[in-house]
Amino acid sequence: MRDCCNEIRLLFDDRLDDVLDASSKERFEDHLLECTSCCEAFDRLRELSDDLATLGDVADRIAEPGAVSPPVARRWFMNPGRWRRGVAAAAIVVIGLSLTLSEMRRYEMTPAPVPTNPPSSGFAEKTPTGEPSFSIATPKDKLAVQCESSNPRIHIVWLYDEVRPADDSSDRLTDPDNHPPA
Amino acid sequence: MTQSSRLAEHARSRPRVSPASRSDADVSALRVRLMALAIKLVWNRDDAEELVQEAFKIAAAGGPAVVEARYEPWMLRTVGNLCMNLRRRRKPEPIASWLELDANESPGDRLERAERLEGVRQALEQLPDQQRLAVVLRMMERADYSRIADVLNVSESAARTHVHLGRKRLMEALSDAAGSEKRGDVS
Repeated sequence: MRDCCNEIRLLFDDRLDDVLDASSKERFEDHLLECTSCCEAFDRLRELSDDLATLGDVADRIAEPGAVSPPVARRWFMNPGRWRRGVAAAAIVVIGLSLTLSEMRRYEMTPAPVPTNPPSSGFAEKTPTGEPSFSIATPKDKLAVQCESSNPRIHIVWLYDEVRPADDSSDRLTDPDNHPPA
Repeated sequence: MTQSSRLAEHARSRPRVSPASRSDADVSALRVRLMALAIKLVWNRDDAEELVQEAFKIAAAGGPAVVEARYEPWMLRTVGNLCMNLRRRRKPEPIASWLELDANESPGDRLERAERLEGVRQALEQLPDQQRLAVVLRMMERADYSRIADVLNVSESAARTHVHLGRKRLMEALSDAAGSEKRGDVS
C-alpha cells in the first residue's frame, strides 16, 4: 500500500463523521477517484455505518412503549434458517420411509408354510402336523418349517437354505448346529 | 480556601438528583432512552426491561453521588455495564420482523438484508466492552464524542480511539466472515 493510501485511510473516520475541512475533503475524494483499493475500503466502511444505523432504528422500534413482537407465523415465514431446517427434516423423513419400505418388500409377511407331503428324508416325525397358528416374516430364499412344541405359547420354526439329499441321515431337527453325520 | 475545598463546596451546593426528585415525564423519557440503549446491547425487550429496572434500583439505593448534569450519563453507563455483565440471555429479537418494509425490495432481498444485519449484530457482540459501547453510542445512538466520553468516563480522545478501533475490528470480522463464506461456496 502506498504512503498516501495510509494517510487517506487515517482520514476514513473523519470523512465518515463529516468533520474534514474543505481542502482535506477534496484531497480525500480525489484520492478515492484514483485508488480502487481505498475506494472499496471506504465503501465497505460506509456500508457498515449504514447497517449499524439501520440496526439502531430497529432497536428504537423495539424499545417504543407498547411495541409488540410480530406474530409467530410471520416470523417463521421470514426466517430463512427455519426453512432450511424444515427442508432438511423433510428430506430425512422421506429417505427413512423409502429405506423402510424397501426393507419391508424383502420380507413378505406370510404364514410359515406347512408341508402337506412331508419329505422322505427322515423329517417326517418332526414336521408339524397342524395348521400354523401364527405368521412370521420369512426371507424369500429360505424355507421355514414349524415344529411341535410342548408349550403352546412357544413356536419353533426352522429356516433351511436348501433341501438335503434323501440319503442324508443327519437329524437336523435335533441338531441345530447342523453337525455332519458321524 | 484551597481549590479542592472550593470544588467540594461547589459540588455540595449543586442540587443532587435522585429518581424521586425528578418529574415523572423526565423519568419516563430517561427510561425510554435507557431501554433503547439496553436493547441495542442485549437485543431482547424483556432482558432490557429488567436491566433498566435494576439500574433504577441501584440509583435509588444511593449509588455514587452524581450532580444533575451527570445523572443521565451515569445511568447510561450503569445500564451499559449491566448489559455487558448479563450472562444468561433470552433469545434475541428477529431482525427480519422489525425491518421497515421497502416497496422496491423483493422478499429475497429483504431476507438477504436481514441476514447481513444479523451478521453485523453478531460481530458487534464479539467486540470488547468499551469498544462495543462506544460504537453503539456513536453509530447507533448518534451521540457526539463528548457525550460518549461522559458515558464511558474517559477523555474525548480516548472515546474517539474506542470508536475507531471498534469500527476497525468490525470491518475485519465481517471481511473474515465474507471470505470464509465465499470459500464455503466454492468448496
